[in-house]
Amino acid sequence: MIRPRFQWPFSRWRWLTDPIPAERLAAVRIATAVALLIDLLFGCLPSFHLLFTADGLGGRDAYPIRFRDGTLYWSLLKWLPDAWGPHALMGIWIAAAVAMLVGYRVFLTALVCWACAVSFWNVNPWACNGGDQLRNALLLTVACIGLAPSSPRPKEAVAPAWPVRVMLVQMCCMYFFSALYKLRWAEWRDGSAMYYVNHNRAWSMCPDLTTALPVWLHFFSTWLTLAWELSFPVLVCVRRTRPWVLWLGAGFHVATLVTLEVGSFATYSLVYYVPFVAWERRRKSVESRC
Amino acid sequence: MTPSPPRPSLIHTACGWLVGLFAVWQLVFPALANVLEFVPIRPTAGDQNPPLESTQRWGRFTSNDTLQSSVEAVGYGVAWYAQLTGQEHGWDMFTPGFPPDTVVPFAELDTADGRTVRVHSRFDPVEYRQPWMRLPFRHDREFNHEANLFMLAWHFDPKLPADHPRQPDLRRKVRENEELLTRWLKYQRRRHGDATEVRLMLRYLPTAKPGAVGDAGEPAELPFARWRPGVIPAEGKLAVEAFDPRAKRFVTLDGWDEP
Repeated sequence: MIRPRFQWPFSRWRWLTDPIPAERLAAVRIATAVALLIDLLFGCLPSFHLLFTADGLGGRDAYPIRFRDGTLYWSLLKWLPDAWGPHALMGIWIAAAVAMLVGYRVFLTALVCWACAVSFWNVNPWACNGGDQLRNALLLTVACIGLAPSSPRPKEAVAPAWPVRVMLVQMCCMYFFSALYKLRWAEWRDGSAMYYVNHNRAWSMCPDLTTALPVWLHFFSTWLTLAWELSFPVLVCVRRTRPWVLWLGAGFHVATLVTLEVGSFATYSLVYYVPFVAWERRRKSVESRC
Repeated sequence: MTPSPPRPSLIHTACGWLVGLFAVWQLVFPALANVLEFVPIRPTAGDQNPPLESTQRWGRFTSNDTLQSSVEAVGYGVAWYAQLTGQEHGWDMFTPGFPPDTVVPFAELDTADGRTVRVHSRFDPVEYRQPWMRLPFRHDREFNHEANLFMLAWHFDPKLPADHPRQPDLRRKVRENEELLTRWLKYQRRRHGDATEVRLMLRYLPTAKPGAVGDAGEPAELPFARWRPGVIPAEGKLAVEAFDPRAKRFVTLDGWDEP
């Protein structure tokens, strides 16, 4: 197990160096593994033949421009035969995700999951969305969680805070820059963007419901999304506003999961909220009741 | 007296520093990657012919060569790290502007015996009997793939004249995405028997303006790309052809230089 060492000035930055309860990192690992298994079993496997094999829209030579000179995209599937490579790698991926879930050799299993994730992502990037970008970053973070030193006293275990801090920065960047991109377009500024999103009968998973909502609600949700995304980095840093902004975010992701074709983007985003829950207090309250 | 903990080995200490460096880099990287996307830099060979799908702004932000090159070096490094680790940024979700039409792709195949067969998408609300609610995840990845097809032309407005300045250049879109489109067209042919011509068609289903009363308008169809398996493309031309809405016919497209 490895204790991270920071150069000055980072070594003096307590936000980064102070330990946090180990339960929070364990919760991140478990939540990442659960989100990954949901994605693999319910998202990837039903479309596996179509999207990732040479008989369908995938295969190692399907999109050679992805691997052109001057880029560093890579895939283990490029070295495996089309006949059994995708099937074998998917099997390894699922097995590694289960191992990560139960906490078996977390550094190794998370790295295997990450290698498989990047490999499938690159042979058919068209089947992916922003959720896959979050997943790849999460798996690297979980691999680092696997390096954290274990405490001799598990009941008071602490762990390095930096993986959680990295997740927070990623979250802030995602929301803030997403709002900046949106602000450039008239539909987001005039409030009609969510009206058209919710009326899109391909994108909406329950168009009979979303098209029946009052118009003002679509406009309100457009502006609320913009305001929330723009202010997220500030509001999440202020202790009093943090719970509100996090609850709003979690609610937003659950709502988009069930109403829009965003798939695993919603579940991987929700994993970023997991370290904000005081899991150590929950464990203590359960123990005191027992 | 409690025994002092054993001194960590040199390798252990070095690994600790490496993890610390990685942690700091992972902390800086997201902000750097996102900010640099708004700073115009010049594309590398790997970014063009055909252009790499990216939210990066291309060009120059200063006439000072040293400053421009220094920022570009950082930008290229950050982009390569993102490609290597699968941590690409560019959170331009639901932009540019969400168009007022639902666009769904479908395949049209001309068979050897002279028939024309249409194969509709599972997401087509006209052909596909939609349940009250679709389940999350189940077809999401298939939808992602299809969205990458229809989003190429979803800002085309069938109600406007084809030569209207607001209309996107569909030929350029087909040419820049020829791998994606050719693969899809070939898959449709494999799946639905030997066809002499396979076309990717788009159906536009208009949405009524907010607060508008009455019908939103009639759906429109637009051919987008085609592939003819029996036709060998002329030298330097692509196998996939694009529909030119101005000329109302398919046109051949120039190939890309070999890397």
